[in-house]
Amino acid sequence: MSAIKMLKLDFLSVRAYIKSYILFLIYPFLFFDMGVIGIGAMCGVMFTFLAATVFSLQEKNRMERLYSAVAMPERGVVRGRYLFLAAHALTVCLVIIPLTILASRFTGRETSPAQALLAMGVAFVLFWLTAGLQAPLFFRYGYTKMRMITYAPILVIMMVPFIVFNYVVSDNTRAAISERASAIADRVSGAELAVIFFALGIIFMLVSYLCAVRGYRGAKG
Amino acid sequence: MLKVKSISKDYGKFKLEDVSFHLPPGYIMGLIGPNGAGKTTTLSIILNFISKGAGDVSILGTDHIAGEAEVKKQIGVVFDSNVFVCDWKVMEAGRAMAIFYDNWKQKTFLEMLSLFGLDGNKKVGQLSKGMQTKLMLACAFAHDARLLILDEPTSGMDPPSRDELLELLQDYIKDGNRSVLFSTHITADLERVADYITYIRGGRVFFTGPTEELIEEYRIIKGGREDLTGDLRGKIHGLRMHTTGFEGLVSRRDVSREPAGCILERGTIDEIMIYTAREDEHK
Repeated sequence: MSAIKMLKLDFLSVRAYIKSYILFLIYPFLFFDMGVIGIGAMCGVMFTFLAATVFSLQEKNRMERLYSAVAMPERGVVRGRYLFLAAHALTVCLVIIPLTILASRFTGRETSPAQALLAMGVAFVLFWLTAGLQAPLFFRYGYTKMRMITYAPILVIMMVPFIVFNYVVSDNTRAAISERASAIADRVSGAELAVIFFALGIIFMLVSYLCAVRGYRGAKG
Repeated sequence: MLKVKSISKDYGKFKLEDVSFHLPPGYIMGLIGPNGAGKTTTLSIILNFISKGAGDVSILGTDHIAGEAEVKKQIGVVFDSNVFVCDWKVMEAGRAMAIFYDNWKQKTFLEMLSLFGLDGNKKVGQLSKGMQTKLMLACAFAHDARLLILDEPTSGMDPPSRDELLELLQDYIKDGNRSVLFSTHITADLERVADYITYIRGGRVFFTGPTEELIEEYRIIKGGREDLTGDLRGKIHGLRMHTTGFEGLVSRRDVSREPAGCILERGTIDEIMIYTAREDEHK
């Protein structure tokens, strides 16, 4: 129950920033050429930026003091925050659906339900891989100290494929990569792979949660 | 209402040691001490904002950690600076607090906003420090807290607002079931409203008890240079020599009668703090 209260507080905290979520969704469109998996990957990573807003606000306004003052046990803070992250993970999966439809329209390529599910799985696992790394560190050491350390690898993951795919490789190579990726996608069942990604995402989430509980206690000294 | 028993915390460079005090229902206690003495650490431990090294804290007979959520329903906290999201409007801050309290009274919250002259549509970040303090206080009153914990609540307030706050606190404890613990540097406020004082020096409790007892316990001693005997010098806290004589603080247990040539004067809490702080500086 206390986790639900914390979840409500987190949503109230970021309410003024919800508009920026829409702006962030434009970015995955840059990856239309990479197919639905590229969109899924970008969405997954993008949503970690949005989810981190609450940590930034927490630090900026020193809200740990508020959390310690209100009628909520210590564990409610971490549980509630993970519900907030889980809500983002769920949202990113839902956002993938209209994005893949739009991508199909723009590129003229058909997107099967299995491919859309795979894109969701990719987004889900990348979200928890990134947010799962960030959350315990943000709880333990704070957003400002950790943001560069946790964002640097993400930026590299995001920018390198984009630069390589669009500016380094030739048109022929790009077409070959797309063809090869499609061939792999055809051979492997997208739905099966998606299930594996969802399972991996859940494992990342659970491990991260346990680390975050320790991190939050550690931050209390 | 609030029992703090032998709490300690070791930060390496600073140690809070064996801090104990008891605040009964229906009273106001002032928590005083120089900067870095351990006041905020003590309040943070009570709120479980930081973990304690040792000791016990019970609020309304319940351990502050074992029954954390229940205990905190009974507590209202006013921090020394804003804890709400700066982009929130005043009404949103109230909405955020209402999430956590079943007994939240929106009517009381609105009445308090009106009393404090707070505009519900103004952003929290645009409020002055004093107004932010009033907002936190309005939230505390709106959930009918039985124990108010205030960390330097009057520091950002102008004299009329301070006066208003102190009156509110006195009204708040009138029914005999509520208490207030507040840390402050403005000791004049304490002399007006505090029934009890806990004075922390260097991480240890120097005094805890009724305010009048603290004031009665010490006297300011003044005399000529020739009147300062070796025996007397040893009993004076924060001795200050000037061209014509000396002054300092003595315990009435050490110096019960005026020594020859000296005078003993009743001091204020402020003076007691100044002399004891001076003693710490010269150690």
